[in-house]
Amino acid sequence: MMTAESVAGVSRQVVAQLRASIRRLEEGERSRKGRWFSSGCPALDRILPDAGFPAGILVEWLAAVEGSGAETLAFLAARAVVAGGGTLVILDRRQEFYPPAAAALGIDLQRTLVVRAARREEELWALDQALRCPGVGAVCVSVDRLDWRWFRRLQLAAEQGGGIGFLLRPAQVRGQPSWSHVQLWVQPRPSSGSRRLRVEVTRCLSAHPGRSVELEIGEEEGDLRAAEVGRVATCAVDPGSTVDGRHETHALSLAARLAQPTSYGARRGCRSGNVAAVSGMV
Amino acid sequence: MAHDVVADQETLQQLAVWCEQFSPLVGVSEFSGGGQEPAGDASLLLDVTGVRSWFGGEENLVRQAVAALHQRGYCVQAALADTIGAAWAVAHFGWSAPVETSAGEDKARERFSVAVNASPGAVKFRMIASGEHLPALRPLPVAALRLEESALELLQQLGIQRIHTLLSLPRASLSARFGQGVLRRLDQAAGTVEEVLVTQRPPPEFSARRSLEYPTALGQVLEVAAQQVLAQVTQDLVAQNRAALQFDVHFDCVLPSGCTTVRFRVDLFRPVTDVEHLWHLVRLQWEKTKLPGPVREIRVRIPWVVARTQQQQELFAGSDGTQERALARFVDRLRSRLGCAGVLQPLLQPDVQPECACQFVPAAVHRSLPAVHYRDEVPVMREPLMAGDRPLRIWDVPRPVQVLAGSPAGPPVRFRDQHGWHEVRHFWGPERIETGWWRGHTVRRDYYRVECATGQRFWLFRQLTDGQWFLHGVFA
Repeated sequence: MMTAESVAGVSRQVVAQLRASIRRLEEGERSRKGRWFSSGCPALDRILPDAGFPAGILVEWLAAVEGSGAETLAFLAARAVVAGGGTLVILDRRQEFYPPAAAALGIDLQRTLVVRAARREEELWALDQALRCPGVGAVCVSVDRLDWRWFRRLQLAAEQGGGIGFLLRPAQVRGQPSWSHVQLWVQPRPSSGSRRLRVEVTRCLSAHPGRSVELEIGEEEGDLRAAEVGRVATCAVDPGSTVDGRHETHALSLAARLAQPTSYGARRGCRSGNVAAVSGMV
Repeated sequence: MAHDVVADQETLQQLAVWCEQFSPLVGVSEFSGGGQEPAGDASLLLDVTGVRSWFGGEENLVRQAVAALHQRGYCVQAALADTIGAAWAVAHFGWSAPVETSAGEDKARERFSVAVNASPGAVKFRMIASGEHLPALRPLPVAALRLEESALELLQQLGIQRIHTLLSLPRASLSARFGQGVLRRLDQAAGTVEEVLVTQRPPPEFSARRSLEYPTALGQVLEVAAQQVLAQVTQDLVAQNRAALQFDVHFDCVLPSGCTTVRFRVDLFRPVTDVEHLWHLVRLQWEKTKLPGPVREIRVRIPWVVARTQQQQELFAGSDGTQERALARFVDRLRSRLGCAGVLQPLLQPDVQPECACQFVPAAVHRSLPAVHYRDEVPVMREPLMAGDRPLRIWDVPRPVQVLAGSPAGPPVRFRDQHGWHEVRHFWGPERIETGWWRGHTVRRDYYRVECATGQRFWLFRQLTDGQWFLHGVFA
């Protein structure tokens, strides 16, 4: 008769195998292309599942509130992505985008296109076209609601084009089905000078969500760095500890997760509560 | 002898055609400006890019051209330079005083400038070596820049007589005080802005049509027919080594009351001869339109044709060719469905008023290059923006907000937007922004960057004229 430990051992092994095959399936086309981009900030890279952004994915940035800095972070990441070539496309249906601010953040406006669609459907169509285009390195767009068919279509478009789609979304969509590779929740933090933000991975395909980091944006150059709070605040969860003893709870919902990517990751991220990095903040 | 403008014009046009023995692209510069210029003054422009080898060098080319015109009884002033503007300037003003007065006495004796548009860059002719056009321009009078009468008068009043004086002024003040015209002519002469040589001979018109035996509204039939017409036109284009930059597809629809035409216009981002791509662009517009009746005839017309060699041009220098093509097709598709105003490129403007500090221009390869700095330009007084200085999102019309300030001229303490009250924890400013009196409507504002207790950041300003507060942007 098998002991409880050996049962746990076998199931752990099975889960590990399943996870590996799911990852292979999910990566599919993308892993063959094999390109990879850094977010431009080592501290942010550390909490990302692939230590950066693989080519051909969608990245969601959830803004907790207006003026949170999520868009600034997305633009800084886009700057890093198009640094090696490729065009930055900004979809700006509301006609609010202010290029001088982007230029001050170090974005090359000569290689930037601004697309202004009149209606939401047209903007989604333009987004799909931009993601499919191999000449486009990164796309930035604000999307509030997005049904899963469109979402899947956009994800496939990104996979085909090999660029990265940065979707800026309100915090309310947290927990809704998503086809993004990684979902990042951005909360503003009170600062004493340089702007501070807390970024938490609330959902990702190939690793545990829940890791967070507190970042600071340089006022002069727009450089992104880990914020210092007495000690250096870095990842709340050590990257090495993602393979922990909680696989069992994972295994239960693996099938459900395969069938439809839901809010699973988001809920988990909340529960683990790994937010202690900078509790000393004002 | 009386001056006959029409006769002048005709002679010049005939001469332009005759000059095609020296260059495939010959145009007539219609510009007539400057006080001392005789009315109807025009020049011949020759684009001699890449033809020097047929004449044994550029100098020989110009020598032959000038000698040939001499034989026909014309007194010629010619110059050869990198840009149309520079060649025009040197041909008109790059001579010693006696020559200047002798010209334009007789109506039969025109003055010409031979201009080279690109590659290395003149008997009575002057040669400006490649890259030397800017030093050659410096000592010339400002009239050499082909400026409007009003701009010239203004410059004269200010005592600006030579181009080098104009170049030493900060660019920002140039456009603000003299308008975009002066800056554009300066940039054209310097070669930082593209100038198109309009050739004398209009290119042949490319068009094709196809009548259907029976009027039909069947999509498939129309699709095949339209593709055939497009294929016919592109064949003609390719045969003449040309490509389309704009084309129209007309569907003549039969109605009970008569006949009506539906037109689809497609502007292309770069010259194209690919039928499939062209058809795809038409279809993007067709899908959105309901034809009013069965179609009797399909016509395709290409109003804008360019040489196919221009396919080498790149929108973003230094990028990979295939990616560049993919990008051009992407832009074409977007423009076809969203219209030209849907795909834009941001262009920063030297303007202190935040709403005016940026322009959006339709993305196009044939767009002028953004302004560049001259080597000796006096630095603009404004310091460059820092990363945190401006919000990523601003509103064209600032939103009035209720603000509690510590003192009448002090920073904001609390403010209320549609989400409720925000407690200001930190602020940076005030940054005073005032526009000049010459703008008419004066803008005087004190801008504050504020950070709320929650860490959110906003951009507020107090209107100095009436003390009203506005929310202008958000550091998204």
